[in-house]
Amino acid sequence: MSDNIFENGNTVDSEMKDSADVSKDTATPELSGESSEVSAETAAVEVAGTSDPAAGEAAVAPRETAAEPVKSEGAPDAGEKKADAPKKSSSGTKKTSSGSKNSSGKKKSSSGKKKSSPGSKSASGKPSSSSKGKTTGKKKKKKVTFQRSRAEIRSQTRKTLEACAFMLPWFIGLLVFFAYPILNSLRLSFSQITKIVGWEMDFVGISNYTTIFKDSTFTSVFTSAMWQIVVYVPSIVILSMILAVLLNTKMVLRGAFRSIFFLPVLLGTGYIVQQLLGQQIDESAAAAGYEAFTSNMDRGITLPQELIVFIPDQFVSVIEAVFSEITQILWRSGVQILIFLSGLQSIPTSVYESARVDGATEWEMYWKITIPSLAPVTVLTIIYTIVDTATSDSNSMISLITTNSGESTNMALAAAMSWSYLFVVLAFVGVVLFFTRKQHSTVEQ
Amino acid sequence: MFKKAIDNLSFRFTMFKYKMSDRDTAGKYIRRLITKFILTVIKYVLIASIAFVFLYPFLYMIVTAMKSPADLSDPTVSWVPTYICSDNFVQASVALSYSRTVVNSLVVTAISTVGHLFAASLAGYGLTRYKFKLSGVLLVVLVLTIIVPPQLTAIPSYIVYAKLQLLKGWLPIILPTFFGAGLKGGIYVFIFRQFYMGVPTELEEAAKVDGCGPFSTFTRIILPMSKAPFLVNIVLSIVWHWTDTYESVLYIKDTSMQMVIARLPKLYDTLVNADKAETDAEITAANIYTEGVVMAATTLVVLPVLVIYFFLQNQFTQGVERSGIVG
Repeated sequence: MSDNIFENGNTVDSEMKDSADVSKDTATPELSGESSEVSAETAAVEVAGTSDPAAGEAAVAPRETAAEPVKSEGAPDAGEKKADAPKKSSSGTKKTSSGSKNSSGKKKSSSGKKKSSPGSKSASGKPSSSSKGKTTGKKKKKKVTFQRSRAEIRSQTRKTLEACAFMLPWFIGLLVFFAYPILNSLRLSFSQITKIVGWEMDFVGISNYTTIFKDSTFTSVFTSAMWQIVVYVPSIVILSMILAVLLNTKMVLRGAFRSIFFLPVLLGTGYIVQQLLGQQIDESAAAAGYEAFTSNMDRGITLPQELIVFIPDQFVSVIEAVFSEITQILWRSGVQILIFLSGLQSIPTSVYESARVDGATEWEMYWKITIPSLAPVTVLTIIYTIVDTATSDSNSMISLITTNSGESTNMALAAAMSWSYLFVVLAFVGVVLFFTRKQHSTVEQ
Repeated sequence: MFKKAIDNLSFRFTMFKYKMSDRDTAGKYIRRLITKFILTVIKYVLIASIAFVFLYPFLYMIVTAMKSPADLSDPTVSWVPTYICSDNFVQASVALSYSRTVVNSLVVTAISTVGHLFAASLAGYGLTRYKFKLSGVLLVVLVLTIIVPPQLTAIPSYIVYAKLQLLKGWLPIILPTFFGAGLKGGIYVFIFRQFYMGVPTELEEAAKVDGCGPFSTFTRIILPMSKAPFLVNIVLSIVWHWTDTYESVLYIKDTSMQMVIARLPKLYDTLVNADKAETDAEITAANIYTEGVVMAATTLVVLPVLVIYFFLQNQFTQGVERSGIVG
């Protein structure tokens, strides 16, 4: 589905070239698919002479991937797949210049890799893989091969150039606005600012890190932020899944409700929401336990006065704290509800109908159909929620970093804080990705 | 006989759509009806209450904005103000310098959105259509750009801008968006990527056969069909840039170029100080605003975004479904 489209144009070319290449090498008779593969491999090793593991893999790859043209993109979490992926993408269905992608322009190595194509060709049933057909075309196509392979190489570089042209703005932005500041910040976290005007730094090792971890404010805010991630993320994901399923059913005013549920995103997860819900970030209060918020009782959702009279005092504060937490959780699940809704709508209704015919109840259908279909969406949502919770403006950790980076004496400390925080967030995301490898490979198509 | 009666009745209650099947006894059918009815009631109650939780701050904001100072200190007036106090809005618009800052915000948001769309569509297309060794690595890098909070890169970015002499006006906010690096810029690339992965390659192959180069394939074929992710990204970009309190405050020090939301934190701070101020003299000296004014200011800040969302909302939800964000 996501093959390199500009490779497909070369199908015709390389087919002719393949036959020409094979005909050139008289040492290996072409019989059936398997033996041609074996011979292809040995021939590749002999002819190519370069210790290119890709050649051997290319010979093996077409066999496996003839049935899986879809999984063509290298998954980022498997380094070894990266070398396979470029080959799989093309040799899966279009047995084209899989080898030429990695070819260094040497004619011999490219012809060696082309040997893999006969294997896939016979797999797709082309008649020209028989030896007899090739030997007849041998003499005519010899010279054509040479020109075509150079054209292949030229088109290969041209393709790469096109790719670079498309991604150029993003590359530049990445380098200038992301990579350089990040590395600079890393350097900053290991040093101390000596002169403010010129931003000069003095390398001091890990003293910044030891300083912040000894500071009680930082550790309390740090643990509260961790606690926040651990508690909020599952609640948000589960709650938004339930709400999305509810919203997906037929009901009156469904469109209106969907718009209402997206309102939190409009107001932004930052400042306005914080104020409207009556929460204030107070760092000194953060030192007192993991509750990093103090709620302003005048605003925000509280129990009506009449009810409070009936409930004993300790319960009131607990209940109100629970209410405020629930409000926070609900308020941060706007985007997630939307994502789940779209995921739900991509499940075909025919599945539900056939299940109903088979006699499944609604509850069973929910567990057996809806939730498994939502698996990749759930992974995406979990990652997004972790990122959103960790980096939203109302996070106590973020505000601590912000205030500290405002004072010039503390900038290195702020950098050290951000890096340790980032490390933990990355660890969370890595753990989630690790445990959901099976699902998220479809997301990362 | 009973069954027949219920059968006749069930034609009337078509909204239930629960007809009696042959295997149903009358009792079972009635039980099923009642269960469904109770569940529906519970469903509506649940959704309505959660919708209330979402709507409550809005309602509170609007109602409080309309209350005069007399109403604010009057404990008996809670949800219905005695009259609509327009003075709040006047004071709020003066405090925010509304006419100027709204224009600023509009300009910055519009240009940033264009920049995001430009860079993200190109980058998303490049990421999906070209497979080379680095494309997996680039995807990881893209996810990293999303995960890293802007606070981490903000101060060093400030240094970079200072060195490149780019600290003029809105440039630090607008320029990175054209390179895919602005506020939450990676998410737009991701959305485009997810969408383009679902687009079959046949159209592009046909275009190539007809002689289109890659770039004109992009502009003539891909872009017109990408209405869905464009819409999603436009809404998200507008919302995030309009309500951004971090970058806008960090890079813009000149009050004449401020965005409309930059003034809001100061207004809220005056409110906090009002709780601490003891005498009336202190209040007037510090130019402290009442809560009504602050809420009016919030309403004014949020209003344009609400209007835009109101007009785009239907297409936006459809766009999210069609853009294939979800695998």
